[in-house]
Amino acid sequence: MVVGLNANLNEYRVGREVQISVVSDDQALIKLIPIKPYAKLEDGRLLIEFGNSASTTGLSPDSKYVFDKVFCIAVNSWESREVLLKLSVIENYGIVKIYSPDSLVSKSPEDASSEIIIPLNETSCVGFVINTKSVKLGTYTAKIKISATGG
Amino acid sequence: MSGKVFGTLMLLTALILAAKIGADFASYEAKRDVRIAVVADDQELIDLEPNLPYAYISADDGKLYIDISTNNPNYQDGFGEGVSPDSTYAFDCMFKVSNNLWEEVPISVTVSSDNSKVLVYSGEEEAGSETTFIVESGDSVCVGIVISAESYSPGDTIPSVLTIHAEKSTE
Repeated sequence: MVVGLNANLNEYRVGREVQISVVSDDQALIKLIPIKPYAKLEDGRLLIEFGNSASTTGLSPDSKYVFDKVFCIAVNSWESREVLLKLSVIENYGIVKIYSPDSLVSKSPEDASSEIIIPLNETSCVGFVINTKSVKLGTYTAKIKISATGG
Repeated sequence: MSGKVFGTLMLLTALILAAKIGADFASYEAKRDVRIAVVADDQELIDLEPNLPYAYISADDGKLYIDISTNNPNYQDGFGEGVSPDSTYAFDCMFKVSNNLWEEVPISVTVSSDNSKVLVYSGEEEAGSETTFIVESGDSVCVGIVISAESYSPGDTIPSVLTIHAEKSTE
């Protein structure tokens, strides 16, 4: 009986170590891999840069550019599960659109949009359409929001 | 004592189960930057570089313009103010198209005109409404322009838009 009472848990405390390695985008569980020279890793984060105002290279005004496979995304998860990937462009100028042959929508440059959804098994690549119509000379910034959920 | 051990085992089992459930991938979210520099036509990845003074880069919008009139900023007093009526002018190498792509791949470039009175050519080919040529990485190719003022009169203008299309060469 005494043993039984003692078996009721009032408190349990134990220490366990948690170790999480923060690695660069191209080494993470969801890998972001630069492919074209316009994509690179800066501070371990994927950065896409079409031109550089410091070195006076970039894209022309009033032009449309299509860049295939600027970067790729791969599932390097330790679990073999399909991941549903959503990429959204966040910007104010309407310059940047994206596409991927593996996307459920916007599979080609012709129907590129600001959001694509990819059921990702292994690796999928993302292309960019940059339309500089109606923008002045200067540097424009946007963000690509990448979110994934387990399938 | 055995009850304590049993309780501890139950707890560890629960923790392991919880850990396994937690190990299933649930979600991921990241935001990454995109930067785009919009620069003048003669500073970009595929340069459009004026070669003759009839072509210039606008300081206002950075675009290449071909303008044979007194509106051209290169015009100076005493220069010709345009082309003659019922005449044909050919300008070799009016502007150059260069390939400064960071991928270092050759490109196939097509320059086309929307006006049959303004024709384009490259190399030794005959002028036409469009011309296609390969530009190797780091190289440039000249584009010539033929202007036909046939059936035009003094005071008229010959408007035209040149479209430059480039894609990765498959040759």
